[in-house]
Amino acid sequence: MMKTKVFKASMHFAFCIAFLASPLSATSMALGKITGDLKSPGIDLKTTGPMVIYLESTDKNFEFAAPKKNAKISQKDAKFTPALLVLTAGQTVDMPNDDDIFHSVFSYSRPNDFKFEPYPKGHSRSIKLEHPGIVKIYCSIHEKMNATIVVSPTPHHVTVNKATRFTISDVPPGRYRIRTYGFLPSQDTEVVVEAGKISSTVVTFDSKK
Amino acid sequence: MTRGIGIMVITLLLTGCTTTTSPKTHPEPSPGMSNVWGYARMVAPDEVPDALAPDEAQFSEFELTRYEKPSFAVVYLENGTPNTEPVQLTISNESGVCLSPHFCAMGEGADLIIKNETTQACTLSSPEQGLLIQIGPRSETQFTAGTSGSFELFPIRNPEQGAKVFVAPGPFSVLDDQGQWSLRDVDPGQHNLRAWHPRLPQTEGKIHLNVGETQRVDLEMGIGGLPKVSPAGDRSE
Repeated sequence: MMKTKVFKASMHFAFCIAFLASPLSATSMALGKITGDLKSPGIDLKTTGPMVIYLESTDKNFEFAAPKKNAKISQKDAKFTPALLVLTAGQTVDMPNDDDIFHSVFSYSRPNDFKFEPYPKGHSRSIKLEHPGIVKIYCSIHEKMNATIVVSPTPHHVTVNKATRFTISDVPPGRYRIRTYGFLPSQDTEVVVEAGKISSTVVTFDSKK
Repeated sequence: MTRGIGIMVITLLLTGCTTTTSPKTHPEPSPGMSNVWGYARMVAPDEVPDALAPDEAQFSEFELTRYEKPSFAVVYLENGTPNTEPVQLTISNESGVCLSPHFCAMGEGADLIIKNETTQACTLSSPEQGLLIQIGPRSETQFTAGTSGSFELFPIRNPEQGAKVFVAPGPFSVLDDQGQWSLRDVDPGQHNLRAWHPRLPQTEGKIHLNVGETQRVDLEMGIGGLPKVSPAGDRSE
């Protein structure tokens, strides 16, 4: 009896090891993963600024839930931090004032346009950004304050900085367009994600053809 | 107040004859045409606290928005034929690689000439235009602005020193240092008049120009028309 129990335990342990070592363990069972190279002819991407890479489903009926945790962009030294933020459509962003002076945040990027009344240090304002797109925010008091919020249509996005590779994990199976935002234009790229698999792709930053 | 693109009140200053002209600066329109001119000013938000005095020491290190000073803005008509004179941007090494002027305006279909005055090749990027341009030392290149709207051009080596270009779909005028703009010899009739500013929502309104008329229209640009969000996150139009 004891030998049987030990045998079963050993088999169970061996199975766990095998499972963890298999390719399927790289992702959740029903989800896939995307890894990619970033390329740009003649440009060293390790010297360029941050870029956002995000997925847009080609199936317009595919619904994604926004993360429940709020994103954050703060004000300090008359600057927004971070200067480039990505969040998911339907997610709320908190904008705390960590500065010693008033700030008055607004955006005219339709349809996510908004304005807050000025608020002082220690106070915060929040807004839910419902619509995918680029939202430029400014302070109506300070001339040089500005930042960009990328509102991604899906929760599958990543920000890279001085990088030549990217990874987006836990992506539901399906076909996606890879979108980018940053200082460089990118070629249109699509990728198909399969459950339990890793999809490789290349995103090229170059003039659109 | 209508939401969306921050529609502000357009103040029409009309005299009895709807003509307030200064012969030196606003000559008569050509036969069968009309002129329209005016001033455009930025309007500070009402809610800025009185305590935010520009001369307070704690604020002096951060550049405040000077609403009383005219800044770069473009007043234009949505329809009509824009001026398609070429516009030039220059790449220089004044503070690292930079593009100047920082803001410019051009008509749809006009050529944008970019001149590299440095001794090094320069790569410019415009994600909105889908362009990555390499310009050799002491060389120039050009491209045609196909669609109206604004776009940015960044030197890859120094993206903070790029330029913002506004492409007008119709006749346009850039504010002078007094905040005045002027559109001469435009077609009479109904027009959508708009004002574009790099940091403020567009202002728009409808005007009607009669044949032979010179009309003055003053514009205000600001954030007053944007939907206000309360501390609780509620939006009000």
